Amino acid sequence: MIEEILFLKSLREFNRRLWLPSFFFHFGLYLAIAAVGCAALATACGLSSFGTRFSAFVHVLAPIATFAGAVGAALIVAGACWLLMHRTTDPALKNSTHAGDIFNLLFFIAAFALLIGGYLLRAPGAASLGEFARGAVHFDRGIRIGAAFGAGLILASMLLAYIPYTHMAHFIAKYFTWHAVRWDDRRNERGSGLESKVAASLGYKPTWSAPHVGADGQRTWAEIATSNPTSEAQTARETQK
Amino acid sequence: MSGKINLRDVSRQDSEPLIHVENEELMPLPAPLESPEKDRAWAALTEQCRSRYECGLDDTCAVNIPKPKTREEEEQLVARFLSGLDKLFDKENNWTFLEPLLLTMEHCTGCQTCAESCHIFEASGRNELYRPTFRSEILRRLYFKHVRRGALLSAWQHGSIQLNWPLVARLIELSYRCNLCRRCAQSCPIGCDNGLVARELRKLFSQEMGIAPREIHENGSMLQLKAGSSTGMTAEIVKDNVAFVDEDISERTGIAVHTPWDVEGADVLLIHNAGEIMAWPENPGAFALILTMAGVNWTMSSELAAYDAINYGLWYDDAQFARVALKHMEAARKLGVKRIVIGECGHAHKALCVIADRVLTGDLNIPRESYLPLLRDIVLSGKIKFAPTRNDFPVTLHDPCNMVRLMGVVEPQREILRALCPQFREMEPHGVDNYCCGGGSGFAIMSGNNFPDWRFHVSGRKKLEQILNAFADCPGPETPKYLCAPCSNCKGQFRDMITYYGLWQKSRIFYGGLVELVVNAMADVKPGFIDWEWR
Repeated sequence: MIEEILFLKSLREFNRRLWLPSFFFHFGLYLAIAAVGCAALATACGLSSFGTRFSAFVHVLAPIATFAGAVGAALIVAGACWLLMHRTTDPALKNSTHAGDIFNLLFFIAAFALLIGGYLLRAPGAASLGEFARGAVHFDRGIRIGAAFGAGLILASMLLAYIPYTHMAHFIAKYFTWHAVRWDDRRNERGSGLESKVAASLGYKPTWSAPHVGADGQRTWAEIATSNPTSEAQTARETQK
Repeated sequence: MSGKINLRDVSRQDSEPLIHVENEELMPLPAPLESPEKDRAWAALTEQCRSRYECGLDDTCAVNIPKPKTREEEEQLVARFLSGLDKLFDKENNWTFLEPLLLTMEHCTGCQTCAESCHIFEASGRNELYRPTFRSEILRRLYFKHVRRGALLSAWQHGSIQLNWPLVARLIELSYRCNLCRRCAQSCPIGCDNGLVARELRKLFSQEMGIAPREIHENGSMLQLKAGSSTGMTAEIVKDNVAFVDEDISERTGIAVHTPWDVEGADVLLIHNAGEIMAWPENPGAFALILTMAGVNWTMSSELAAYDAINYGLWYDDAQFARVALKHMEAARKLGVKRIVIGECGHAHKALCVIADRVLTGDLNIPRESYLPLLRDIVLSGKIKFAPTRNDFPVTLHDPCNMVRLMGVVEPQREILRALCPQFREMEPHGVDNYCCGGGSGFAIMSGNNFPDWRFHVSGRKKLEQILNAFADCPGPETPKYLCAPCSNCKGQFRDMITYYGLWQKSRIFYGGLVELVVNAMADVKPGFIDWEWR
């Protein structure tokens, strides 16, 4: 599972063409998430309420956050551009590429290009990542950030809110699909919770219309499963006679 | 070549096929079929078939959907499809497979990793129509538009497609261009299951519209529920036939065999695919001999449907599936057996061991298992003496998808073959990465129109390549070779495909089960149990 999530093992084994751009893109995302985590932790360590006990961590975490953020954003932009090229030129992807997919990639490219570009090319005196994080925690409105970096932040926030409404949430869905759905091989043992769930489901009343199913909205799945459409049909024929 | 089709072509109003495949476009095969000229020509669909049935998908016709006579009839059929579509995504109607289906609908990225794993797509010469995502993408667009009631924004995000009768008719046929082998699901980086999509579409068509191939519905699950077996054998006939098999096996092996029926409290209830009894009687005979010699306390059941392990509902219909599974379990409960053991039938393995596990409750949930671990234990126990030199001919093993990829039973059969077959060689790839025989999901018993041409040229092609490669060191007819296929359905496909390509005459490729190899190697049995007579 870890190998699959971090290094996209299936893609590497079965679809090498798309693996590297996808790996860049996803690994960049993980680094960006790690950068946010490190920046948050560094900020927490630097809070005055903790005294000076953790202040040394700030000096370790802040450069890690900056490095991970920069590399992560660069990988995201590179990976997204590469994927965009595949999406627009590869005939194999044509039938399953929608306008929304192109938009999503452009959204990522714009947000993270602005973030990394805005940060690296920031004006002298503009806040560093650590200063920005501290300022955000303290609601310090005096913090100065560049326009491009600010636009990147706004876009990234919008992107974060947008992702759950798209199939891009697949990296979260993957946790559920990988084992629980794809190879769900928990045994249904007598008296288990799983058996209770199955029993409850057998009480549902389906409405499928094909005659052989025999569903009328009143019979349960259990009743349908214990019926025999051939003997019922035979009985109906005999009754007609 | 018309493989470069657009998804929207499925809504085309004309009844002309979307694609046509030539032998030259198919994946090349090794010798002796190395050039397209050596390949068989396809039979064309008859004019009668084209005029009566919907044949607008490709070169063949599997389901025989009568053409609607009026526009109103078309509209009614589309309305029924839409009604079924809603039910497919409704928990009360589809609690069994709703979760994986929804995840597949909502989280596929369209990366096409599944296509790289699909034997049908590869063998067809990478024809767009046979991409695993082609049918899924149609269903996905319909789902977002008609189930999620998506409007313009949804169409922009997920794509759009025009729903009409030609689309529904083509989708029905397209749901029968997948073997449901789930190799694609195994390789999907997300865990989406395009095999399940094909199966769920079949379910919609069967359970809502009453549309399914005659071979698997009327002559399959319905006949099994009526007569007791899809072969049409009633309990009296099957007992007679098995008595004849016992007699024949006793004579051929020199060891008296008697199949016990309806023994209460037996350790093992053995259920065969009843097709074995009619088409390959040496298989149930070999089982009876092995279990008898190993001293296993076993029985067969003469209850309705319980002497035939098949469960075709697995491929297309939940109601039919549950009914047959319950018949099997009720027979086991009635006899009070300790466990059910499934014979050489792949889909029966998955049906009763895996899928039924989410249907059975209480005292119906009796342990069920594959025959393979039991057979391995018997062979390696030392209870029976073996002379592996009797099996000194090239043997390769086909991994039935349902037993191997979908249940994880990989090693027992190999331990047996390594012990008993000195010239055993693997196909590549094998185990859970195997390729389907091409007859999976009902195709092996579907022989209407020119469908066999499609299943040998396309769905069976990758496996045929594997078989020929496995015997590449001894290709000629002077060396008899054994293709071990421990599954009735796969054997049916191999029998037909080897015959179709004349490979018994050209290469002396024989096929058979695993238990036949075990009996052939028994030291106390008359030599020559495998008779190398083509059947």
